[in-house]
Amino acid sequence: MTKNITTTNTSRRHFIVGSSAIATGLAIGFDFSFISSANAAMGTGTTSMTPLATPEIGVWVVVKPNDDIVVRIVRSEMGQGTITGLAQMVAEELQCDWKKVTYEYPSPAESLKRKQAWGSYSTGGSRGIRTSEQYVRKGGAAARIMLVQAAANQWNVPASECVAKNSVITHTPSGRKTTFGKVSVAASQLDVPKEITLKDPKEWTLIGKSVNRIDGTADKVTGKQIYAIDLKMPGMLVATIQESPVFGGKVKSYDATKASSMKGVKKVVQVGDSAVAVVADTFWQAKMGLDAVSIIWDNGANGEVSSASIKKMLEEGLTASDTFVGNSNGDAKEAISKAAKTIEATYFYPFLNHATLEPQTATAKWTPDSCEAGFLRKMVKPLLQLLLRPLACQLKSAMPTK
Amino acid sequence: MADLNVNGKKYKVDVDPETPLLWVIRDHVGLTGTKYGCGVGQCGACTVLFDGQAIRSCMIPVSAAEGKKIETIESLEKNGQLSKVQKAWVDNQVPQCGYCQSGMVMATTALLRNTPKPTDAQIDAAVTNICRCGTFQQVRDAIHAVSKA
Repeated sequence: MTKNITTTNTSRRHFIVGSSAIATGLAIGFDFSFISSANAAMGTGTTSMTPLATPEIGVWVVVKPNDDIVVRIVRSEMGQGTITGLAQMVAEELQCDWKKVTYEYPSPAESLKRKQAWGSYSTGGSRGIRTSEQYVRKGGAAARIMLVQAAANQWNVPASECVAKNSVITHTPSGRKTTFGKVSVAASQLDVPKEITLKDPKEWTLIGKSVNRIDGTADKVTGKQIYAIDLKMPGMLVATIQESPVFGGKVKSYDATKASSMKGVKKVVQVGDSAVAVVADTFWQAKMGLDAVSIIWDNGANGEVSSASIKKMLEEGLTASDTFVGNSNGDAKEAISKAAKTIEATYFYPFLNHATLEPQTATAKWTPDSCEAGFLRKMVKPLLQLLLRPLACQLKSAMPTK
Repeated sequence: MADLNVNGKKYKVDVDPETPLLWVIRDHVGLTGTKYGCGVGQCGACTVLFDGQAIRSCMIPVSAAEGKKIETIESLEKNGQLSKVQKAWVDNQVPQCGYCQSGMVMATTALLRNTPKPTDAQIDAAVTNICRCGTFQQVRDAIHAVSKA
């Protein structure tokens, strides 16, 4: 998943917290030089260390004087198109020129500072659009109302006589016109309206339409897009980890003698009670080192779990006479027994590794008084809260657990 | 020490000769467009061209790459102009997360140099890269779009 980072000053410890814009990446830090230098080193043009764009018309929309529209997005882009879909919803109500729409990603720190003005940052279960469509549409509508009011104030006419379409505001009786950009500063100073009527879905022209993505498609075909694994810093070491092959298992013992003497290997460490990691100059050296560590595992209570045992457990549960009923309507058993034709099928998925193509990675810069990290992560906020604990927090506790 | 020719530039790298070409490209040459996916030659995210042929760079020791002409995703855009394949990828909105797409584009680039108008069967045989977002149909459409252009 792609990385794109913004930062914001947050607290007395000069915590600078940023997070990935397009991405499930999260950058958290107490000194943002690491991410910015890492990205500068990667030559990415999309990294933004700048504060949020202005002037904002409510919290979801920024209209620049040149008529560029910036829509705020707080759900993570994992390729599912959520940035584009959410921006369409805002733009529909805003009545703006879609061709001028870009996006920006308010950092989770900015969200904390502004009392969670943008709602949930979590991304998963196809909930981004379903659970936020009402309030992001209202955000777009509120901005439109404010822009129209600002134009009406300038013309000294009632706002009810003005309409907005394609980023142009028209005073219908006189035919006078202005653009969103020309009134955006004035609009930004108005109160955000509370009573908002959304468009009837029958009037939608943009929502539900297939449009080109507004997140960097070209960068994804040129190798320029920076993913979590691409972050690099001078002198950076690479650790690779072997977790217990069984969930809940533990390291009984391990022999690091051979690995410790291998070229590039700096250290072999046990991580918690369930993993061993090798730290080396490069990934390949760390991987070779890890392959050379012999680990004896205690598989624990799940040692005998297999697809077959899971299937047996499910079958026992499904066929039990006394079973949990969440919802009961009518008499299904009776209806099935009287049906002219019954079709029976069993669907079963084996126990599988959730093997993403992009490996799970994290990058951190740890100094005596600071920690800065970039992660591949879907749920930004829990991680932010975790890292905002005192510096004594263990890095291992902040590792991604997608 | 290995002598490499990557995207027309010469590099001398001081690494274990068994180091996979992928990691030399990413960590020593410094080009990160070539991706690490499975590490066992299955997914194709690490596809580069090796004397014009698409190969999975995670499986090739750097010692075997000496004297070969290596081309990576970074070589395709010339003077700010996307290659025909890259352009078709943008026009057809192929990428979703994009992580596999460097490999997809490289495998397609190799295919089209030798087979400018591939059939679906030829595409399936040559572009065996895995995309977990599921862009296979868009990949196929984009390849046919290049052929027709």
